[in-house]
Order: sequence, then structure tokens, then C-alpha cells
Amino acid sequence: MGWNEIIFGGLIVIGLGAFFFFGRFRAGKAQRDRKNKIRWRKS
Amino acid sequence: MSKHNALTTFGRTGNPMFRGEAFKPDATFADSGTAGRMTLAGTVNKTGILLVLCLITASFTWNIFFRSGDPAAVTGLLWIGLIGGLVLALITIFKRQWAGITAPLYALAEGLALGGISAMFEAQYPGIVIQAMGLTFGTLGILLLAYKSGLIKPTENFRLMIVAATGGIAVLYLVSFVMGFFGSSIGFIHSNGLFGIGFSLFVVAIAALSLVLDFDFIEEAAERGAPKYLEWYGAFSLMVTLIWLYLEILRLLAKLRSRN
Repeated sequence: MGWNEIIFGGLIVIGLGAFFFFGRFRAGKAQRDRKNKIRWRKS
Repeated sequence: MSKHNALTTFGRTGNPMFRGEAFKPDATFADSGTAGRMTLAGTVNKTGILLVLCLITASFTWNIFFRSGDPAAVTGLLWIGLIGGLVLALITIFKRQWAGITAPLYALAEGLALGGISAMFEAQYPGIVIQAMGLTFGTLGILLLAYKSGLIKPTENFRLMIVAATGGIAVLYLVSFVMGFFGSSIGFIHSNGLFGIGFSLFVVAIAALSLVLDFDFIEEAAERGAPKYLEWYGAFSLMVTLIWLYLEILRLLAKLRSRN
């Protein structure tokens, strides 16, 4: 296994790990409580 | 054209999966119990399922290519994957309630295409596929953290910018595709010169920022207690963006490697 596999394989593990772990939590207050959010639902 | 008129004209998100009416029919969700509501964990789990399904069929075409060493051996599967994926994506967009069935089928079809495409790039530039995968999932993780922490705050203007850029890129690719039938093409799109690499960097940036729109839609839908099937729909939209991002990174890396 060369450096290419170690570095980019590690990046895959870290990226997916971050997604599967942090993806389960709600966004912080700074993200949720603001007035200029995207209006996904038409009123 | 005011920005709101533009949004109405071009659609309300960069990702065609997320139209403005995405969860309009379920405005109040008054009759959907807690068990029938979308959650963030459910969407993440379903994204994992789609990634695994995609990987299974990608491995299949990848192995066929490297066993035979002949691109013609996977060309048929590649086209089945591309056309099947396109049809299933369209069905999912127009019939969101079916996403529980069509999204996994879409992932399987795209896997067939991605496995073949990746194998062809790998044969030409060894080690390029793991680099592209690393950069794709690395981008996913970093942008998710940036979104969750509030470092990147998507607004209507942000969405308008992504919509406009995505539309422009789509038109450019379509024109280039049609010109291909007449033996011509838009040269800089595929060139490995500075302009071609700059164009690829721009497309990678737009594809990456589209992930932020996906995160925002999923967060908002879960927050509002959208129906359960939107978990599959959210996972499907993330898959569409991830596949786009992966292919663009692959193209960018190939351009850079071809300069050596």
C-alpha cells in the first residue's frame, strides 16, 4: 500500500465518518435561528 | 428580472431534485405521526444504503473491465447504467413518493456506469480513482461540518447563484454533446490547458456548493416533520450531487495528470 492509498483512503474514512456521525445532529443555533434562511416551502 | 422572478423562472434550487414544491403538499403534517416523519438519522442511514448499492454494481463493472482489459466489455453496461439512471432519476423527481423504490434502483444503475467510467480512468491514470473518491468524501465531510456549525449560511441569493451556475454548466455540456454528433465540440471544456482546468475547478466548486443546498433542504424538511418518504428523496438528492462531484473531480484530476 503506497502513500496515495494511505492519504486518500484516510480522507475517504474521515469524510464518511464525519458525514455519518455529524449528519445525525441538528445544525447549530447560528444556522437555524436566522432571518435570511432559504424558503424551501412556498407560502 | 428581480431575484424572486429569477427563482420562479429557473427553479428554486441548484439541484433539480429540490423544486419549490418539494414538501408543499404536506404543509402541516398534522396527520403524520412521529413514526411517519422524516429524521436526519433516517436520511443519513438511507444515504449509506444508496452508497453501498452504488459500490456493489460499480465493483461489478470495474472487475469486468480489469478481467477483460477491453473497454468494449463494459460499454453496454455503462450505457444501461447511464440511461437507466437518467430515467429513474426523472421518475424519482416527478414521483417523490416512489423514492423508496426508485432511489435504490437509481443507485444500482449509476454504480454500473461509475464502475465502468472509473475503470477506464484508472487504466489510463493509475491511482486516480482513490484520489477522486478521497476528495469527494473529504469535501462532503468538510462542507457538512461547515454547514452544521453555521460557517456557511445558505441564503436565497446563494441558491440563486448555484441555480444560475448549474443551469449555465448544463447548457454548455448539452451544446457540447450535440456538437459532438457533428464532429465538433467546445474545445476548452475538455482541454488540459489553463482555461480547461480553470473551468473544471469552477464546476467542481459549484457541485460542491450544491451539497450545502442539499444539507439545508434535508435539515429544513426534518425540522418541519416532513413525511418519511422524503428521507429517501433527500438521500437520492445527495447521491445525485455526490456522483456529479465525483465525476467532475475525476475529470479535473485527469486533466492535471495528462499535462505531465
